[in-house]
Amino acid sequence: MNTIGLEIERFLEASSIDRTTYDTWVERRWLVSVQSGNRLSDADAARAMLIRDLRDDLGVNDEGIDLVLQLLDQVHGLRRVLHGLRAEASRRPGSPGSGSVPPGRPGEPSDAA
Amino acid sequence: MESPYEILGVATQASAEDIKKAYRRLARKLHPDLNAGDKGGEERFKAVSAAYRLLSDPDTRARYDAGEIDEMGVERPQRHYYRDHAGSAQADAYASDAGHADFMDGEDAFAEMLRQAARARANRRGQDLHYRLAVTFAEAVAGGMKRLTLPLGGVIDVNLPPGVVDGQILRLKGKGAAGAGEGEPGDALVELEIAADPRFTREGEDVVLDLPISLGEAVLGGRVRVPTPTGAVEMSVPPGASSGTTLRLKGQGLPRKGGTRGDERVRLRIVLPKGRDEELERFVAGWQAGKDFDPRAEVQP
Repeated sequence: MNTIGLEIERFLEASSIDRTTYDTWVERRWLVSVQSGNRLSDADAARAMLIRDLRDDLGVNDEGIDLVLQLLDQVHGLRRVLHGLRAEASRRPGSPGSGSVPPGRPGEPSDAA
Repeated sequence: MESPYEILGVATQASAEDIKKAYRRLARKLHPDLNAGDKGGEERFKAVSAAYRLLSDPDTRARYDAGEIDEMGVERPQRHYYRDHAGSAQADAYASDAGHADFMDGEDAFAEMLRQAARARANRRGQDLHYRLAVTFAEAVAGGMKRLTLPLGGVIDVNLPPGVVDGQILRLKGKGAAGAGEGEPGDALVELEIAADPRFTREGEDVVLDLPISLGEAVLGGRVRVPTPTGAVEMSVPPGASSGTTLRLKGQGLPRKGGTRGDERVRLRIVLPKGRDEELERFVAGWQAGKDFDPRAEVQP
């Protein structure tokens, strides 16, 4: 238990929240639980700071935070897809962004769809 | 430069409540985590936050109004936002496909591409985890099993090869974080921190030890017990040994490539008993051969 204490202590310090707050946010499924084997990282600390900003600075209530996080997680899910597509597009020869686009005829944009 | 009042868009006599309201309105619009792809807005948000920090504290606001501090009075260190991490494997647990899952259903190439990417993420290899392991000098020389206690509980048995060096990183296959789905686990990267042993220094594959001997042992020779990194052995000191004479204990050093080992080099150091000894002084004063000998003959200018 002591070793879990060490890791969570560092996390709480990085995110400036206390243990009770962390446990409450885990219960609300805003953060992953360290008790069920998850490792806490810089990403979790940044997420905790975001939740703190929403609550303290932006005046969002618990229901609002639920909604904001849900939508943000979808936005980031979509951004991951976009990143994947961009990587895929740059791997395929002749596609925009691959650097091997054949030059268009004069007066014709080479990246036209 | 804009004043904090201008930045928040409030009058200089605005109430604390008005200032808070103005800040919240702007922060909801400008907070970097609510603008995942807009890197430019961050500066504006920083300015708004700094203005609010200055004006929300009655003390700093009064000092600003009196001209004692300027807009820069409440600078804060750089901060990382969640959006900076949200695309990394560290945030996998939070990413949601609820916003685009329907695009994956079709038979077209785009849907297939999305499915592939989702499968790759779902079966992503686990992260490599970094650990440090404290090792004694004797363990570093001899090698052997060493138990590493993990920060989250649990242990890993590390098989230390003989002759590891400080700062060396051992990669333990599959001992890192579990992979997602069918993804392989990551590796554990164990950095070794070898505690120095004040008796020994390491020179390549040899270890060097300064061994104090008595005047009697130096003059007459004899058998002495010598510590090695892994224990102790008996060694003969030849009669007539000097300080600085180096003797070799074959194979008591660190392992070399090819199976042999380096040596332990034992540098003798003659140590006299503490305090003066009349008998010794009388003998040396009358010792003619000792007076004729010039130990510095070779270092004379």
